[in-house]
Amino acid sequence: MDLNYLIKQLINGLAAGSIYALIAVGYNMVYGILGLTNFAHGDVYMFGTFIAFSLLGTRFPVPVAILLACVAGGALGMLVERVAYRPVRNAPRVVPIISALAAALVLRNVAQLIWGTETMPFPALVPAQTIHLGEIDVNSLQLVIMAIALSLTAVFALIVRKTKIGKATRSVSQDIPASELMGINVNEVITYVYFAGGFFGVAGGILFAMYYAIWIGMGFLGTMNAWIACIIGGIGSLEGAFTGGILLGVFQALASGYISSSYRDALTYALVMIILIVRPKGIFGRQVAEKV
Amino acid sequence: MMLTRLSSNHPTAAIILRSLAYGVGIIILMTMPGIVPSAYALHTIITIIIYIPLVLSQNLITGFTGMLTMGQAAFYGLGAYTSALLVMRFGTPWPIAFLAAGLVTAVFGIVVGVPCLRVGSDYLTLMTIGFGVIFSAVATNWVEVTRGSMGIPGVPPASIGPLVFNTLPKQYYLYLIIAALCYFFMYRLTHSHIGRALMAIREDEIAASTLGINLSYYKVLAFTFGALWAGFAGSMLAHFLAFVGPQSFTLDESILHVEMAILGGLGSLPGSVIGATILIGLPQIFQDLYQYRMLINGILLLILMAWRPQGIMGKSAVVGQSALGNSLKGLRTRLSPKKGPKEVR
Repeated sequence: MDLNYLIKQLINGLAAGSIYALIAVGYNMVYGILGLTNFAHGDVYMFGTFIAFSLLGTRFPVPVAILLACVAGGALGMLVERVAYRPVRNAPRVVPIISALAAALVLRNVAQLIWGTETMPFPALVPAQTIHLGEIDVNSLQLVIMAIALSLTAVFALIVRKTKIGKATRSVSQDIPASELMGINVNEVITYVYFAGGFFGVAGGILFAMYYAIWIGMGFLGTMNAWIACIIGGIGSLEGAFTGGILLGVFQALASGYISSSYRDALTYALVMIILIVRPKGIFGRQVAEKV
Repeated sequence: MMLTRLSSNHPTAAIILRSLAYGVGIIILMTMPGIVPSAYALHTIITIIIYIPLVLSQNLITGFTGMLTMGQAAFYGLGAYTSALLVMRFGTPWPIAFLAAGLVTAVFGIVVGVPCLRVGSDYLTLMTIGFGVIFSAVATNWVEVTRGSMGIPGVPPASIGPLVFNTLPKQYYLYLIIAALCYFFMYRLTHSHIGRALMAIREDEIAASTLGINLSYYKVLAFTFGALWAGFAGSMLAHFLAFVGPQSFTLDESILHVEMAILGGLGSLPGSVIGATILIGLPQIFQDLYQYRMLINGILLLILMAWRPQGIMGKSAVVGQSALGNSLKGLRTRLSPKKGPKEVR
């Protein structure tokens, strides 16, 4: 087996994995706060990424355009929560899931009417040069993506761990009524979480689009990848989502490098099914007995 | 309204009226090929008929048993490929290919259903999505058998011995009989002790298991019957369109089945027929809006979930009260000045 090839695939996997990790960490927060499978998460950030794509075509300076797009993504996340999830928050489980699917459908089709269905190259914001490290070639784009994704993930983790709003968030994800009794404005916290989910999602989406390309389908693909990363790592744990994202990226790179790229997604799902059968709560998840 | 008022006062009148309604309905169904304005309309109606077993089986799994599966399109496709390949490669007579399609998908229903027992509600949805993605990947990439994304053209129409169902009216009658059989099957199933066990599982798994209901057995049973009828529907589709391709069995197709079952009403058999009719029929009527149809679908679902999550025909018990209705009720109570806060005992 060629060692250089293996290392190349591993670097590819780590670059993709760091993007997945950034998106999964945000998704995990959004998932954890209401325990709701957010089918619209990927489509929210797909929309935001397209906004960035359009803004970058205008005369806005690059950082301003990216920041505006991230804020727009956050606002979109808040809007989806307000319109699609809050009215059905106390309804039985199937209802908010369908509502989320419907929100995803609406976002995807509005985006399709505005930007069309083509796959387009995203403007190169970072020079892509090949760096020779001994016998191994590394793309500078991959290194920059990894650095940005990892530092943004660290910022996100710091917000959740160290700030007051982060503490309130963790409290709400554990127990909504108890948090309410402690004087936390639950609806406000949920709104912030959806904003953060959209904001960091768009950041991840822009990295994703720079690495691959931009197209409408990246939204649903992103939802599923984030969800899978969370499941691999175990829902509800920040480290779990991060590890899950990295593992997912590496697994996909190895699967397409050594087995078949056309079966990549099928193999990913097969892996998830096996993980769910062997450890139904994820690799790092804990088994919790259901209260009657 | 009038029917129900009559039925409470005059039981005999109600029976006569109901028989009359059924009679008119059956006559319309029997003479449909003669009264529809165009062959295209009949084509649409047959498409609706093919969707009836699909939505009924989605409803059996989601509406009656409470498991949100999003992989029915894979069983649908598996049935279509099985039936088409058996007839075209091995010259199998259609009735045998039809039955084999259901048998194969039922076996896969068990294969998918058993691991789903291990996991909770959301993960079950993911597992079934995963099965759908794996099916799509195999159908697209196993070119030697499925011809990949080119699909299999020229599937012969259904035939029983010398009788070939090669015209639209003939296909209409054959498929109407199959769909009616499916409806009868689902009706008997859901009105039997099995149906009551499924609904008990939907309402509360833990309570159901304390009452001696074997959760694993009944869940896999629902999955298997759902897969069986989806497979039959696949065979119907393949020999109707004369073409099988992986594009017809994507995740979007599965989501469409979920939408139909929910729009009509989870846990309601007539609702499933209505759901299929609306979501196939309306886009055909409003063809100018074709490019907006998924957008309209999404908005429709959002409104439906907020105002009437039980769908058109569903009973409120299936998925609980409308959330928006409840919050409005709460608002009204809060705003009404006469009712003070409840006394604390």
